[in-house]
Amino acid sequence: MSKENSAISKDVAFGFLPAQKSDRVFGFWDLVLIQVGIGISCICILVGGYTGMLLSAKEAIASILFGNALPFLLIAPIILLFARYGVDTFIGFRSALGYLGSNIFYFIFMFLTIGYMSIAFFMAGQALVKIASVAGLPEFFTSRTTGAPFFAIIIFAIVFFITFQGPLVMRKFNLLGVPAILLMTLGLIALLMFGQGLDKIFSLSPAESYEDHARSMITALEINIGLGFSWLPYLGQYSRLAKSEKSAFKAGFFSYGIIVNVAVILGALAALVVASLDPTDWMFAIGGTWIGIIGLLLLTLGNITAGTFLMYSQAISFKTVFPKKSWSVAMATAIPTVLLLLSASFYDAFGSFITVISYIMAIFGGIVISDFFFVKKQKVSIRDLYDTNGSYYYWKGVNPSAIVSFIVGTAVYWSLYNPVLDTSSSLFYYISAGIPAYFAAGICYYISAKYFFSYSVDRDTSKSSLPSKSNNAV
Amino acid sequence: MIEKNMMSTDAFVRNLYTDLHERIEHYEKEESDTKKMGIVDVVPELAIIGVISAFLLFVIF
Repeated sequence: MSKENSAISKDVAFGFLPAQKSDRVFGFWDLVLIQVGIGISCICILVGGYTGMLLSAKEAIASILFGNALPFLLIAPIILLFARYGVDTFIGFRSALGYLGSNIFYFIFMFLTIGYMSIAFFMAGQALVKIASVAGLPEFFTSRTTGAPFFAIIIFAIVFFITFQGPLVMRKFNLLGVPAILLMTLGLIALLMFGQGLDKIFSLSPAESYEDHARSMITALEINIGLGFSWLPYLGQYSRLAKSEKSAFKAGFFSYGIIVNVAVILGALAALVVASLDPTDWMFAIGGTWIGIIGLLLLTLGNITAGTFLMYSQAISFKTVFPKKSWSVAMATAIPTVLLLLSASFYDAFGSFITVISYIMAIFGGIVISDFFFVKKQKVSIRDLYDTNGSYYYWKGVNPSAIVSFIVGTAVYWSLYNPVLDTSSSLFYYISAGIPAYFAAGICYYISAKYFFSYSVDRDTSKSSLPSKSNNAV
Repeated sequence: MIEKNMMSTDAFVRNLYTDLHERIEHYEKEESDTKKMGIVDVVPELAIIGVISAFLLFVIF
Protein backbone atom coordinates (compact mmCIF):
# COMPACT_ATOMS: atom_id res chain seq x y z
CA MET A 1 0.00 0.00 0.00
CA SER A 2 1.45 3.42 -0.99
CA LYS A 3 1.97 6.19 1.55
CA GLU A 4 -0.97 8.16 0.08
CA ASN A 5 -3.37 5.16 0.08
CA SER A 6 -2.35 4.41 3.63
CA ALA A 7 -3.11 8.03 4.62
CA ILE A 8 -6.55 7.79 2.96
CA SER A 9 -7.29 4.48 4.73
CA LYS A 10 -6.28 6.07 8.03
CA ASP A 11 -8.62 9.01 7.36
CA VAL A 12 -11.49 6.66 6.44
CA ALA A 13 -10.99 4.59 9.61
CA PHE A 14 -10.65 7.77 11.65
CA GLY A 15 -13.89 9.19 10.20
CA PHE A 16 -15.83 5.92 10.48
CA LEU A 17 -14.85 4.74 13.97
CA PRO A 18 -16.26 6.39 17.12
CA ALA A 19 -13.62 8.74 18.55
CA GLN A 20 -11.96 7.38 21.67
CA LYS A 21 -10.44 9.36 24.53
CA SER A 22 -7.03 9.68 22.83
CA ASP A 23 -8.72 11.13 19.70
CA ARG A 24 -10.57 13.84 21.64
CA VAL A 25 -7.85 16.47 21.57
CA PHE A 26 -9.64 19.67 20.57
CA GLY A 27 -10.43 22.42 23.06
CA PHE A 28 -12.56 25.50 22.40
CA TRP A 29 -9.88 27.57 20.62
CA ASP A 30 -8.61 24.65 18.51
CA LEU A 31 -12.14 24.08 17.23
CA VAL A 32 -12.77 27.79 16.61
CA LEU A 33 -9.57 28.13 14.55
CA ILE A 34 -10.28 25.02 12.45
CA GLN A 35 -13.97 25.77 11.88
CA VAL A 36 -13.44 29.46 11.08
CA GLY A 37 -10.68 28.48 8.62
CA ILE A 38 -13.13 26.14 6.89
CA GLY A 39 -16.16 28.40 7.25
CA ILE A 40 -14.77 31.64 5.80
CA SER A 41 -15.12 30.97 2.10
CA CYS A 42 -16.38 32.37 -1.16
CA ILE A 43 -19.86 31.10 -0.21
CA CYS A 44 -20.02 33.46 2.81
CA ILE A 45 -18.72 36.36 0.71
CA LEU A 46 -21.31 35.65 -2.00
CA VAL A 47 -24.18 35.49 0.52
CA GLY A 48 -22.94 38.87 1.76
CA GLY A 49 -22.92 40.12 -1.83
CA TYR A 50 -26.60 39.19 -2.26
CA THR A 51 -27.43 40.90 1.04
CA GLY A 52 -25.57 44.07 0.06
CA MET A 53 -27.49 44.28 -3.23
CA LEU A 54 -30.79 44.36 -1.29
CA LEU A 55 -30.13 46.32 1.92
CA SER A 56 -28.22 49.32 3.29
CA ALA A 57 -25.12 48.66 5.41
CA LYS A 58 -26.85 48.88 8.80
CA GLU A 59 -29.78 46.68 7.73
CA ALA A 60 -27.42 44.23 6.06
CA ILE A 61 -25.32 43.83 9.24
CA ALA A 62 -28.45 43.28 11.38
CA SER A 63 -29.96 40.72 9.00
CA ILE A 64 -26.61 38.89 8.54
CA LEU A 65 -26.05 38.56 12.30
CA PHE A 66 -29.62 37.48 13.03
CA GLY A 67 -29.99 35.31 9.91
CA ASN A 68 -26.87 33.29 10.69
CA ALA A 69 -26.81 33.18 14.50
CA LEU A 70 -30.42 32.17 15.22
CA PRO A 71 -30.72 29.23 12.77
CA PHE A 72 -27.32 28.03 13.86
CA LEU A 73 -28.35 28.12 17.52
CA LEU A 74 -31.43 26.07 16.58
CA ILE A 75 -29.34 23.27 15.05
CA ALA A 76 -26.23 23.58 17.28
CA PRO A 77 -27.57 21.36 20.12
CA ILE A 78 -27.13 18.32 17.83
CA ILE A 79 -23.38 18.87 18.31
CA LEU A 80 -23.87 17.15 21.69
CA LEU A 81 -24.75 13.89 19.91
CA PHE A 82 -21.45 13.94 18.00
CA ALA A 83 -19.36 15.09 20.97
CA ARG A 84 -20.89 12.54 23.36
CA TYR A 85 -20.71 9.46 21.13
CA GLY A 86 -17.69 10.51 19.03
CA VAL A 87 -19.50 9.72 15.76
CA ASP A 88 -19.57 11.60 12.45
CA THR A 89 -22.73 13.27 11.05
CA PHE A 90 -23.96 10.46 8.79
CA ILE A 91 -23.56 7.81 11.48
CA GLY A 92 -25.10 9.97 14.21
CA PHE A 93 -28.16 10.82 12.08
CA ARG A 94 -29.01 7.10 11.70
CA SER A 95 -30.91 7.23 15.00
CA ALA A 96 -33.36 9.78 13.58
CA LEU A 97 -33.42 8.97 9.86
CA GLY A 98 -32.72 5.22 9.79
CA TYR A 99 -29.75 3.54 8.09
CA LEU A 100 -31.00 4.07 4.55
CA GLY A 101 -32.45 7.47 5.50
CA SER A 102 -29.03 8.64 6.66
CA ASN A 103 -27.50 7.42 3.40
CA ILE A 104 -30.13 9.43 1.52
CA PHE A 105 -29.13 12.44 3.65
CA TYR A 106 -25.53 11.83 2.51
CA PHE A 107 -26.67 12.20 -1.12
CA ILE A 108 -28.39 15.48 -0.22
CA PHE A 109 -25.11 16.58 1.36
CA MET A 110 -23.41 15.56 -1.90
CA PHE A 111 -25.84 17.76 -3.86
CA LEU A 112 -25.02 20.64 -1.49
CA THR A 113 -21.26 20.09 -1.79
CA ILE A 114 -21.38 19.79 -5.59
CA GLY A 115 -23.29 23.10 -5.63
CA TYR A 116 -20.71 24.76 -3.37
CA MET A 117 -17.81 23.39 -5.43
CA SER A 118 -19.28 24.63 -8.69
CA ILE A 119 -19.76 28.12 -7.18
CA ALA A 120 -16.13 28.17 -5.97
CA PHE A 121 -14.73 26.91 -9.30
CA PHE A 122 -16.86 29.20 -11.47
CA MET A 123 -15.91 32.20 -9.32
CA ALA A 124 -12.24 31.27 -9.74
CA GLY A 125 -12.87 30.88 -13.50
CA GLN A 126 -14.34 34.37 -13.63
CA ALA A 127 -11.36 35.75 -11.68
CA LEU A 128 -9.00 34.25 -14.28
CA VAL A 129 -11.12 35.72 -17.11
CA LYS A 130 -10.57 39.17 -15.57
CA ILE A 131 -6.81 38.56 -15.34
CA ALA A 132 -6.82 37.28 -18.95
CA SER A 133 -8.47 40.54 -20.05
CA VAL A 134 -5.71 42.59 -18.41
CA ALA A 135 -3.09 40.31 -20.02
CA GLY A 136 -4.71 40.91 -23.45
CA LEU A 137 -5.43 37.24 -24.22
CA PRO A 138 -7.75 36.26 -27.15
CA GLU A 139 -11.52 36.74 -26.75
CA PHE A 140 -12.17 33.03 -26.01
CA PHE A 141 -10.32 33.45 -22.69
CA THR A 142 -11.73 36.88 -21.82
CA SER A 143 -15.42 36.16 -22.47
CA ARG A 144 -17.62 35.06 -19.54
CA THR A 145 -19.50 32.57 -21.71
CA THR A 146 -16.39 30.70 -22.95
CA GLY A 147 -13.45 31.73 -20.73
CA ALA A 148 -15.10 31.26 -17.31
CA PRO A 149 -16.30 27.65 -17.99
CA PHE A 150 -12.91 26.86 -19.60
CA PHE A 151 -10.89 28.05 -16.59
CA ALA A 152 -13.42 26.63 -14.11
CA ILE A 153 -13.13 23.13 -15.62
CA ILE A 154 -9.30 23.38 -15.59
CA ILE A 155 -9.48 24.37 -11.91
CA PHE A 156 -11.82 21.43 -11.24
CA ALA A 157 -9.23 19.11 -12.84
CA ILE A 158 -6.41 20.59 -10.68
CA VAL A 159 -8.49 20.22 -7.51
CA PHE A 160 -9.48 16.67 -8.48
CA PHE A 161 -5.80 15.79 -8.98
CA ILE A 162 -4.77 17.33 -5.62
CA THR A 163 -7.64 15.69 -3.71
CA PHE A 164 -7.12 12.29 -5.36
CA GLN A 165 -3.57 12.24 -3.91
CA GLY A 166 -5.04 12.24 -0.42
CA PRO A 167 -4.53 14.27 2.74
CA LEU A 168 -0.71 14.54 2.65
CA VAL A 169 -0.66 16.56 -0.61
CA MET A 170 -3.81 18.46 0.40
CA ARG A 171 -2.35 19.62 3.70
CA LYS A 172 0.77 20.96 1.93
CA PHE A 173 -1.45 22.89 -0.50
CA ASN A 174 -3.67 24.23 2.30
CA LEU A 175 -0.64 25.93 3.86
CA LEU A 176 -0.85 28.32 0.88
CA GLY A 177 -4.59 28.42 0.29
CA VAL A 178 -5.98 29.15 3.77
CA PRO A 179 -3.72 32.19 4.33
CA ALA A 180 -4.65 33.36 0.78
CA ILE A 181 -8.38 33.64 1.53
CA LEU A 182 -7.68 35.23 4.94
CA LEU A 183 -5.26 37.73 3.35
CA MET A 184 -7.83 38.62 0.69
CA THR A 185 -10.55 39.07 3.35
CA LEU A 186 -8.35 41.28 5.54
CA GLY A 187 -7.08 43.22 2.49
CA LEU A 188 -10.63 43.96 1.31
CA ILE A 189 -11.64 45.05 4.83
CA ALA A 190 -8.65 47.42 4.99
CA LEU A 191 -9.38 48.84 1.51
CA LEU A 192 -13.04 49.40 2.39
CA MET A 193 -12.31 50.96 5.80
CA PHE A 194 -9.43 53.23 4.77
CA GLY A 195 -10.06 53.64 1.04
CA GLN A 196 -13.81 54.30 1.12
CA GLY A 197 -14.53 55.22 4.75
CA LEU A 198 -17.34 53.88 6.92
CA ASP A 199 -19.38 57.12 6.69
CA LYS A 200 -19.58 56.79 2.92
CA ILE A 201 -20.39 53.07 3.02
CA PHE A 202 -23.17 53.57 5.60
CA SER A 203 -24.75 56.29 3.44
CA LEU A 204 -24.95 54.14 0.28
CA SER A 205 -28.23 52.70 -1.03
CA PRO A 206 -28.47 49.10 -2.30
CA ALA A 207 -28.31 48.64 -6.07
CA GLU A 208 -31.01 46.02 -6.66
CA SER A 209 -33.54 46.23 -3.84
CA TYR A 210 -37.19 45.24 -4.38
CA GLU A 211 -39.76 48.03 -4.78
CA ASP A 212 -41.21 46.88 -1.46
CA HIS A 213 -38.53 47.48 1.19
CA ALA A 214 -39.99 44.88 3.57
CA ARG A 215 -39.57 42.28 0.80
CA SER A 216 -35.87 43.20 0.43
CA MET A 217 -35.40 42.81 4.17
CA ILE A 218 -37.09 39.42 4.50
CA THR A 219 -35.51 38.01 1.32
CA ALA A 220 -32.01 39.00 2.52
CA LEU A 221 -32.84 37.51 5.90
CA GLU A 222 -33.98 34.24 4.28
CA ILE A 223 -30.74 33.96 2.26
CA ASN A 224 -28.73 34.36 5.48
CA ILE A 225 -30.98 31.89 7.30
CA GLY A 226 -30.09 29.47 4.49
CA LEU A 227 -26.39 29.90 5.22
CA GLY A 228 -27.01 29.43 8.96
CA PHE A 229 -28.86 26.13 8.47
CA SER A 230 -26.48 24.92 5.74
CA TRP A 231 -23.76 24.02 8.28
CA LEU A 232 -25.84 21.05 9.55
CA PRO A 233 -24.03 18.24 7.65
CA TYR A 234 -20.61 19.62 8.62
CA LEU A 235 -21.24 19.71 12.40
CA GLY A 236 -20.09 16.17 13.18
CA GLN A 237 -16.67 16.39 11.53
CA TYR A 238 -14.77 18.14 14.32
CA SER A 239 -17.28 18.24 17.21
CA ARG A 240 -16.76 14.52 17.76
CA LEU A 241 -13.10 15.20 18.52
CA ALA A 242 -13.83 17.76 21.26
CA LYS A 243 -12.61 17.30 24.82
CA SER A 244 -16.03 18.28 26.19
CA GLU A 245 -19.58 18.77 24.92
CA LYS A 246 -19.52 22.36 26.13
CA SER A 247 -16.41 23.32 24.15
CA ALA A 248 -17.80 21.61 21.03
CA PHE A 249 -21.12 23.46 21.31
CA LYS A 250 -19.64 26.85 22.08
CA ALA A 251 -16.93 26.60 19.42
CA GLY A 252 -19.56 25.65 16.83
CA PHE A 253 -21.79 28.57 17.76
CA PHE A 254 -19.03 31.16 17.82
CA SER A 255 -17.32 30.00 14.63
CA TYR A 256 -20.26 29.19 12.30
CA GLY A 257 -22.89 31.37 13.99
CA ILE A 258 -20.87 34.51 14.74
CA ILE A 259 -17.26 34.78 13.45
CA VAL A 260 -17.81 33.69 9.82
CA ASN A 261 -20.23 36.62 9.62
CA VAL A 262 -17.15 38.85 9.21
CA ALA A 263 -16.80 37.48 5.67
CA VAL A 264 -20.54 37.82 5.00
CA ILE A 265 -20.56 41.46 6.21
CA LEU A 266 -17.45 42.16 4.11
CA GLY A 267 -19.31 40.83 1.07
CA ALA A 268 -22.32 43.03 1.81
CA LEU A 269 -20.25 46.21 2.22
CA ALA A 270 -18.21 45.50 -0.93
CA ALA A 271 -21.42 44.88 -2.92
CA LEU A 272 -22.82 48.20 -1.68
CA VAL A 273 -19.68 50.08 -2.77
CA VAL A 274 -19.29 48.43 -6.19
CA ALA A 275 -23.02 47.80 -6.86
CA SER A 276 -22.25 44.23 -7.94
CA LEU A 277 -22.70 41.01 -6.00
CA ASP A 278 -19.87 39.25 -7.79
CA PRO A 279 -16.57 39.26 -5.80
CA THR A 280 -14.57 39.20 -9.05
CA ASP A 281 -16.02 42.63 -9.92
CA TRP A 282 -14.90 44.12 -6.61
CA MET A 283 -11.13 43.75 -6.90
CA PHE A 284 -10.39 46.27 -9.69
CA ALA A 285 -13.15 48.63 -8.52
CA ILE A 286 -11.86 48.80 -4.94
CA GLY A 287 -8.12 48.17 -5.35
CA GLY A 288 -7.15 49.38 -8.83
CA THR A 289 -5.33 47.30 -11.47
CA TRP A 290 -2.35 45.80 -9.60
CA ILE A 291 -3.98 45.30 -6.21
CA GLY A 292 -6.98 43.99 -8.16
CA ILE A 293 -4.85 41.34 -9.91
CA ILE A 294 -3.31 40.27 -6.58
CA GLY A 295 -6.81 40.11 -5.08
CA LEU A 296 -8.08 37.96 -7.96
CA LEU A 297 -5.10 35.59 -7.66
CA LEU A 298 -5.71 35.26 -3.90
CA LEU A 299 -9.41 34.67 -4.60
CA THR A 300 -8.53 31.93 -7.13
CA LEU A 301 -6.12 30.28 -4.70
CA GLY A 302 -8.68 30.53 -1.90
CA ASN A 303 -11.35 28.94 -4.08
CA ILE A 304 -9.02 26.10 -5.11
CA THR A 305 -8.38 25.44 -1.41
CA ALA A 306 -12.10 25.56 -0.60
CA GLY A 307 -12.63 23.14 -3.52
CA THR A 308 -10.07 20.65 -2.18
CA PHE A 309 -11.65 20.77 1.29
CA LEU A 310 -15.16 20.28 -0.13
CA MET A 311 -14.16 17.51 -2.55
CA TYR A 312 -12.17 15.64 0.10
CA SER A 313 -14.95 16.07 2.64
CA GLN A 314 -17.45 14.60 0.15
CA ALA A 315 -15.20 11.66 -0.81
CA ILE A 316 -14.19 10.80 2.76
CA SER A 317 -17.84 11.00 3.92
CA PHE A 318 -18.75 8.65 1.06
CA LYS A 319 -16.15 6.19 2.37
CA THR A 320 -17.52 6.62 5.91
CA VAL A 321 -21.01 5.73 4.71
CA PHE A 322 -19.83 3.04 2.28
CA PRO A 323 -16.46 1.84 3.70
CA LYS A 324 -16.23 -1.10 1.26
CA LYS A 325 -16.25 1.13 -1.86
CA SER A 326 -12.94 2.13 -3.46
CA TRP A 327 -11.34 5.59 -3.21
CA SER A 328 -11.78 6.02 -7.01
CA VAL A 329 -15.56 5.51 -6.70
CA ALA A 330 -15.63 7.98 -3.78
CA MET A 331 -13.74 10.57 -5.86
CA ALA A 332 -15.99 9.94 -8.88
CA THR A 333 -18.93 11.40 -6.90
CA ALA A 334 -17.37 14.84 -7.53
CA ILE A 335 -17.48 14.54 -11.34
CA PRO A 336 -21.10 15.84 -11.80
CA THR A 337 -19.73 19.24 -10.71
CA VAL A 338 -18.43 19.67 -14.28
CA LEU A 339 -22.01 19.79 -15.62
CA LEU A 340 -22.70 22.89 -13.51
CA LEU A 341 -19.55 24.59 -14.82
CA LEU A 342 -20.56 24.54 -18.48
CA SER A 343 -22.45 27.83 -18.21
CA ALA A 344 -23.03 30.66 -15.73
CA SER A 345 -26.65 29.58 -15.12
CA PHE A 346 -26.05 27.80 -11.80
CA TYR A 347 -23.61 30.46 -10.54
CA ASP A 348 -26.15 33.18 -11.32
CA ALA A 349 -28.89 31.24 -9.48
CA PHE A 350 -26.90 31.06 -6.23
CA GLY A 351 -29.64 32.94 -4.32
CA SER A 352 -32.21 30.26 -5.23
CA PHE A 353 -29.72 27.47 -4.48
CA ILE A 354 -28.95 28.71 -0.95
CA THR A 355 -32.65 29.13 -0.15
CA VAL A 356 -33.40 25.59 -1.38
CA ILE A 357 -30.58 24.44 0.93
CA SER A 358 -32.20 26.46 3.72
CA TYR A 359 -35.47 24.59 3.18
CA ILE A 360 -33.87 21.13 3.19
CA MET A 361 -31.45 21.69 6.10
CA ALA A 362 -34.05 23.50 8.23
CA ILE A 363 -36.34 20.47 7.97
CA PHE A 364 -33.58 17.94 8.72
CA GLY A 365 -32.41 20.17 11.58
CA GLY A 366 -35.91 20.11 13.12
CA ILE A 367 -36.10 16.31 12.74
CA VAL A 368 -32.72 15.44 14.28
CA ILE A 369 -33.10 17.89 17.21
CA SER A 370 -36.61 16.60 17.94
CA ASP A 371 -35.41 13.00 17.80
CA PHE A 372 -32.30 13.33 19.97
CA PHE A 373 -33.64 15.68 22.66
CA PHE A 374 -37.39 15.02 22.85
CA VAL A 375 -37.94 11.47 21.55
CA LYS A 376 -34.69 9.65 22.44
CA LYS A 377 -34.09 11.89 25.51
CA GLN A 378 -30.36 12.14 24.59
CA LYS A 379 -29.85 8.36 24.76
CA VAL A 380 -28.88 6.44 21.64
CA SER A 381 -27.22 3.05 21.29
CA ILE A 382 -23.76 3.39 19.77
CA ARG A 383 -23.88 -0.31 18.78
CA ASP A 384 -27.15 0.19 16.91
CA LEU A 385 -25.75 3.26 15.15
CA TYR A 386 -23.21 0.94 13.49
CA ASP A 387 -25.17 -2.33 13.28
CA THR A 388 -27.20 -1.76 10.12
CA ASN A 389 -29.67 -4.50 11.15
CA GLY A 390 -30.17 -2.86 14.55
CA SER A 391 -32.86 -0.77 16.24
CA TYR A 392 -32.67 2.13 13.82
CA TYR A 393 -33.75 0.01 10.86
CA TYR A 394 -37.37 1.28 11.27
CA TRP A 395 -39.27 0.66 8.02
CA LYS A 396 -37.03 -0.68 5.21
CA GLY A 397 -34.14 1.36 6.65
CA VAL A 398 -36.03 4.66 6.74
CA ASN A 399 -37.84 6.24 9.70
CA PRO A 400 -41.48 6.90 8.60
CA SER A 401 -41.71 9.80 11.09
CA ALA A 402 -38.81 11.50 9.28
CA ILE A 403 -40.61 11.04 5.92
CA VAL A 404 -43.88 12.50 7.26
CA SER A 405 -42.01 15.41 8.88
CA PHE A 406 -40.12 16.11 5.67
CA ILE A 407 -43.41 16.30 3.76
CA VAL A 408 -45.01 18.58 6.37
CA GLY A 409 -41.90 20.81 6.54
CA THR A 410 -41.84 21.02 2.74
CA ALA A 411 -45.51 22.04 2.62
CA VAL A 412 -44.91 24.75 5.25
CA TYR A 413 -41.80 26.14 3.53
CA TRP A 414 -43.17 26.21 -0.02
CA SER A 415 -46.53 27.63 1.04
CA LEU A 416 -44.62 30.53 2.62
CA TYR A 417 -41.93 31.03 -0.01
CA ASN A 418 -41.08 29.63 -3.43
CA PRO A 419 -37.29 30.05 -3.77
CA VAL A 420 -37.24 29.06 -7.45
CA LEU A 421 -39.83 31.60 -8.64
CA ASP A 422 -39.04 34.05 -5.80
CA THR A 423 -42.73 34.40 -4.94
CA SER A 424 -44.06 34.54 -1.38
CA SER A 425 -47.19 34.59 0.76
CA SER A 426 -48.00 37.62 2.94
CA LEU A 427 -47.09 35.60 6.05
CA PHE A 428 -43.51 35.22 4.75
CA TYR A 429 -42.97 38.95 5.50
CA TYR A 430 -43.48 38.31 9.24
CA ILE A 431 -42.10 34.83 9.95
CA SER A 432 -39.75 34.03 7.00
CA ALA A 433 -39.82 30.41 5.76
CA GLY A 434 -36.78 28.41 6.96
CA ILE A 435 -37.39 28.91 10.70
CA PRO A 436 -41.13 27.97 10.60
CA ALA A 437 -40.24 24.91 8.47
CA TYR A 438 -37.70 23.88 11.16
CA PHE A 439 -40.33 24.07 13.92
CA ALA A 440 -43.05 22.41 11.81
CA ALA A 441 -40.77 19.45 11.00
CA GLY A 442 -39.60 19.13 14.63
CA ILE A 443 -43.11 19.20 16.13
CA CYS A 444 -44.48 16.85 13.47
CA TYR A 445 -41.60 14.42 14.09
CA TYR A 446 -42.30 14.35 17.83
CA ILE A 447 -46.03 13.69 17.37
CA SER A 448 -45.43 11.07 14.70
CA ALA A 449 -42.67 9.22 16.61
CA LYS A 450 -44.66 9.24 19.86
CA TYR A 451 -48.18 8.52 18.62
CA PHE A 452 -48.25 7.23 15.02
CA PHE A 453 -45.04 5.42 14.06
CA SER A 454 -43.96 4.62 17.59
CA TYR A 455 -41.07 2.09 17.49
CA SER A 456 -39.77 0.31 20.58
CA VAL A 457 -36.55 2.33 20.40
CA ASP A 458 -38.60 5.53 20.73
CA ARG A 459 -40.90 4.24 23.48
CA ASP A 460 -38.39 2.75 25.88
CA THR A 461 -35.71 5.44 25.97
CA SER A 462 -34.35 4.40 29.38
CA LYS A 463 -32.99 1.20 27.82
CA SER A 464 -31.89 2.60 24.47
CA SER A 465 -28.20 2.82 25.30
CA LEU A 466 -28.21 -0.97 25.47
CA PRO A 467 -28.20 -3.13 22.34
CA SER A 468 -31.70 -3.81 21.03
CA LYS A 469 -33.03 -5.88 18.17
CA SER A 470 -36.71 -5.03 18.26
CA ASN A 471 -37.84 -2.52 15.68
CA ASN A 472 -41.57 -3.13 15.45
CA ALA A 473 -43.91 -0.15 15.20
CA VAL A 474 -47.11 -0.01 17.23
CA MET B 1 -23.63 -7.10 10.83
CA ILE B 2 -20.56 -5.95 12.80
CA GLU B 3 -19.60 -9.57 13.61
CA LYS B 4 -20.10 -10.56 9.96
CA ASN B 5 -17.77 -7.80 8.76
CA MET B 6 -15.19 -8.87 11.34
CA MET B 7 -14.90 -12.10 9.30
CA SER B 8 -14.53 -10.28 5.96
CA THR B 9 -11.87 -11.45 3.50
CA ASP B 10 -10.95 -7.80 2.85
CA ALA B 11 -8.23 -6.99 5.41
CA PHE B 12 -9.19 -3.31 5.60
CA VAL B 13 -12.86 -4.10 6.35
CA ARG B 14 -11.91 -6.87 8.82
CA ASN B 15 -9.53 -4.61 10.78
CA LEU B 16 -11.97 -1.69 10.66
CA TYR B 17 -14.86 -3.67 12.14
CA THR B 18 -12.67 -5.46 14.70
CA ASP B 19 -11.49 -2.05 15.94
CA LEU B 20 -15.12 -0.85 15.89
CA HIS B 21 -16.24 -3.84 17.96
CA GLU B 22 -13.55 -3.14 20.59
CA ARG B 23 -14.43 0.56 20.79
CA ILE B 24 -18.16 -0.14 21.17
CA GLU B 25 -17.50 -2.67 23.94
CA HIS B 26 -15.30 -0.13 25.70
CA TYR B 27 -17.94 2.58 25.30
CA GLU B 28 -20.71 0.36 26.64
CA LYS B 29 -18.63 -0.44 29.72
CA GLU B 30 -17.26 3.02 30.41
CA GLU B 31 -19.94 5.30 28.87
CA SER B 32 -18.73 8.57 27.28
CA ASP B 33 -15.43 10.12 28.38
CA THR B 34 -16.59 13.64 27.52
CA LYS B 35 -17.85 16.09 30.11
CA LYS B 36 -21.62 16.59 29.69
CA MET B 37 -23.16 19.98 29.02
CA GLY B 38 -26.02 21.48 31.03
CA ILE B 39 -28.80 23.91 30.10
CA VAL B 40 -27.13 26.71 32.16
CA ASP B 41 -24.16 26.59 29.77
CA VAL B 42 -26.34 27.95 26.94
CA VAL B 43 -27.19 31.21 28.75
CA PRO B 44 -24.39 33.30 27.10
CA GLU B 45 -25.45 32.17 23.61
CA LEU B 46 -29.10 32.99 24.37
CA ALA B 47 -28.02 36.42 25.63
CA ILE B 48 -26.10 37.04 22.38
CA ILE B 49 -29.15 36.06 20.34
CA GLY B 50 -31.22 38.46 22.50
CA VAL B 51 -28.85 41.36 21.75
CA ILE B 52 -28.77 40.55 18.01
CA SER B 53 -32.59 40.31 17.91
CA ALA B 54 -32.88 43.68 19.69
CA PHE B 55 -30.47 45.20 17.14
CA LEU B 56 -32.54 43.80 14.25
CA LEU B 57 -35.77 45.17 15.73
CA PHE B 58 -34.08 48.55 16.30
CA VAL B 59 -32.99 48.67 12.63
CA ILE B 60 -36.43 47.61 11.32
CA PHE B 61 -38.56 49.94 13.46
